[in-house]
Amino acid sequence: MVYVPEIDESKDYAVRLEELNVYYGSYHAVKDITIPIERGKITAFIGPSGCGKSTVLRTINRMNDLIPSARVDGRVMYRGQNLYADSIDPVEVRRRIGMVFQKPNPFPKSIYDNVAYGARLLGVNKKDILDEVVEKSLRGAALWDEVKNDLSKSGMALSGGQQQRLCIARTIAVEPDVILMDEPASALDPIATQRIEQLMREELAGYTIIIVTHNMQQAQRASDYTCFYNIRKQEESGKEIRWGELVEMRPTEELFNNPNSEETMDYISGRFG
Amino acid sequence: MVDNQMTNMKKRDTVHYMPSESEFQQGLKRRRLYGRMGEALYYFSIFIAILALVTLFYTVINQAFGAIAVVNEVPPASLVAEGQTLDDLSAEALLDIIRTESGRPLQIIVLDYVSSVPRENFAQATVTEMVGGGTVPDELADLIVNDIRQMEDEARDDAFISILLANLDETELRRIIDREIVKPQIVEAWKLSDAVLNWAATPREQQRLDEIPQLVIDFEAQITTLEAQIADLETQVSDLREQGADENRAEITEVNSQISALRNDIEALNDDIEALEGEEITLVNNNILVDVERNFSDAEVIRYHSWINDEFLTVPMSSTPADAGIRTAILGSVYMIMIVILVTLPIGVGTAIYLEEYANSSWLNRMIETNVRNLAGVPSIIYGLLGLSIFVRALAPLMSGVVFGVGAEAPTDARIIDALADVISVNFVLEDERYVGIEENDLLTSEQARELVNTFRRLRTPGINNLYGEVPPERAANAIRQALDLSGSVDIPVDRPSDITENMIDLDFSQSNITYEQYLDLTTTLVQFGSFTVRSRTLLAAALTLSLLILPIVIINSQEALRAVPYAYREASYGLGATQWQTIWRTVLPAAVPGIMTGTILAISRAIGETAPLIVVGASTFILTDPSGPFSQFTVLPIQIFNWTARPQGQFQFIAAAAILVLLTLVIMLNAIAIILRNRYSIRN
Repeated sequence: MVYVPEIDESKDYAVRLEELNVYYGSYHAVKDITIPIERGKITAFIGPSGCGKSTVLRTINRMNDLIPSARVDGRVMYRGQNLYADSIDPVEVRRRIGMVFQKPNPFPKSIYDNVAYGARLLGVNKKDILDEVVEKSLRGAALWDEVKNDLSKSGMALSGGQQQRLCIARTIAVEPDVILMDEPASALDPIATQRIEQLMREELAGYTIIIVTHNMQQAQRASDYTCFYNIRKQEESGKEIRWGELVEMRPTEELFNNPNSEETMDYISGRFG
Repeated sequence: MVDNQMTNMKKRDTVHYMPSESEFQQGLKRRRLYGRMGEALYYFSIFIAILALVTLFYTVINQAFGAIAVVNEVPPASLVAEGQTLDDLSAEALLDIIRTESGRPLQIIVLDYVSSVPRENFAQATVTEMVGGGTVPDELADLIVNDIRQMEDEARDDAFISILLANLDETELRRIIDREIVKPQIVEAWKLSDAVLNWAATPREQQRLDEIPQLVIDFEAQITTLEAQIADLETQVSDLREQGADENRAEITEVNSQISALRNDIEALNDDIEALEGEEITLVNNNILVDVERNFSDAEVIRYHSWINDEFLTVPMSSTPADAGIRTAILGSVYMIMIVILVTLPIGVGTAIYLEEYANSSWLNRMIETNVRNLAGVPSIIYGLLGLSIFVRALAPLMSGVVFGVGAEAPTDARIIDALADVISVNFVLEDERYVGIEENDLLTSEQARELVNTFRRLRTPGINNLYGEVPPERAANAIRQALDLSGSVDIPVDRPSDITENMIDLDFSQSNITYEQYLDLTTTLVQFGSFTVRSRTLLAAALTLSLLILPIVIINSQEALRAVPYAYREASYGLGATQWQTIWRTVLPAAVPGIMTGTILAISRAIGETAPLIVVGASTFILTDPSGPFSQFTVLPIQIFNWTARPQGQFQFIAAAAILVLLTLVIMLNAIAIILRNRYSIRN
């Protein structure tokens, strides 16, 4: 039994996953995911390692296309279109749905060039426009005051937390609708983590954010909705087969206080995972 | 049951699997020992490497510098008044010396040192044309060179002197005097170590050198005395024999033993003399000044002479080591490397990008990749053969520049027949642009005509047995001789591309309708046609061959560099909406540049030093003109060095060492430039 909120036509959904299945070669990694993601809200994916939450996240902006063996069934509806329709160019998708990765990965370029990278990809090359984009994005990622005096410094020279905020600035510079965050704070210390969470709540308010996290407090503190995934196992001709499934999705407060499912209860109370 | 468990637990507590304290200490010592052994091996190999490097530099530097003995054909002192040197003289005074002392006519000196027109146009050029951008004396402004040549002796020389005066300064005039009149010749050369250690004799050696001749004389005098004594004793013996051999037996034996003792003494003295002479030779050889004094008494000796000097770097080849330079070789090497870089970098990096970023793992791509890796290990001489068959032969029109309108055209039948018809009045028949036969005539049989045409046709495919590409006059003369079936012999020196003279040819023309003149013309025509084959052995063909040689290395290194770029960079770029090409061009490639550069530098350093493939492709060992573009003939430094080290004359070893130093400098410079570029790139990142 999967507990997912009913689709409410009066609400504005940014992305709707419908009966999503992901395969790696012949391995069926994630089964039947259906999630409506509300515009302007923060949705957290939680669950034990290997439950497929990162995989689902990466299907949303077609990053899984980069893995040759990956195959996706089902629909990712965005602005009334299925992102996996033949007519859709993944390059266009990724520009609309940005991504922040687990490990801060700034380019080995200056801070300025890092932020301006996406704009330049789109053919924006005028110096004054780029300057404005860089400042706006760095302010949006709460990094401007720290780096405004040495924009020509290498992005690699920043601290881990600053690097991650630089990556966020780089992502919002191309003005995406949705930001996917794949455990953005897992490589950071608690103070840097707190900065990121504050950033999501304040500077990034209004963006649709989907965040994968291992940290249940983080999900509790930062998100509006939480999706809990779990691992399913089955014996098949002597071999154990595992895959990931969505267990339930609810407003965060309800999920943590009053979960529908036994499994969710066990997980959030720390009995496994 | 419970008991059993208890004993098991106890056992577990008492049995230790890890070593005891003392065992651990011993083990630790052993573990550290392995580390120290590795360290010792490391220092040992560093030591060997440094030793090898020092030996290399010692050998090269020892020969590139050293002492020389110079003999001047005309001593400079004899050209100037007492107490003066050439440096004190004015341009006019220097020209006076050139006018009176030069062995060659002044017009030749003008031709060699002032003229900017080719030799064959010299006579018909106006003076203004001839001097190029130089100064023209007013009174000669309207003349052509030939007008001056027609003048009276005195006026003619004055005119040429005024041209020289207007265009050359004192330094250049002194150089002309040096080359044309003084003509210094290096008669003997010594290594740097000899110049340092064995320069002059020490007082003791000098004393010994002084006393040896006297000692020899003394010993010889002693020998003469002893020989006189022997003669005396022999007379005694014969006297005694006459008196009665039997009675005087004891005495005879006595005297005979005296004689043999004396003979032994003489032998000992001879040995001593030999030893002294040997010692003298050693002393002379070990002391440069003594050597010069005894063997080259008119030579001037310079203790520290550098074989690398501006003349060595700026003049072309010569068959005398002292005059030989490496300008053509340096230019050849530099041009070649430039072409190699231009070819390998885009193709190599492009291939690496394809294999690393685009190619899926189909069997075709896997096979390509495996082959690239294997090609990196193929011996370079094989690439030489590949270059010969692909570039020099199959792509000859491209490599010679013929298709671009540069260079000679291939000897088609039509051109062959045109050329032949110029020399002999026979009607050759052409059908569909192919030669089919001749009309009946008195000069040639159809057999001879076919052989002649075939001889010319052979030039279309330069053969592997024709490594130097060109048709030397000797080979041409013999080919024509064979085609015409003439008896007799042709003897033209192979390595001298001089004109053929009558005494080199000893053929019987009585059986043939072809005359000696026609035979010579045919030979010359063939030599001219032969220049076609030379033209496909160009700088371009050689550079492409070397590019093939290093391409696999560049590809492999670039692939490694691309592979080393973290996946996170690609992910970040794609995540921002970059296409694959944007990701490669803006992120992956810049991050891989330092690695690609390092690999390319190594490969190019290898190409600079390559010799074997270039010999096969046909680098010239003797070339006087600078390479003027990709379609010119060329030589490179390693070829020049190889050529010189193979010469028997000792002085070539010295200039070979000098050229090696230049080559090493070139390699180090290229590497330094690349390393600086690479570091700047990594810092910017």
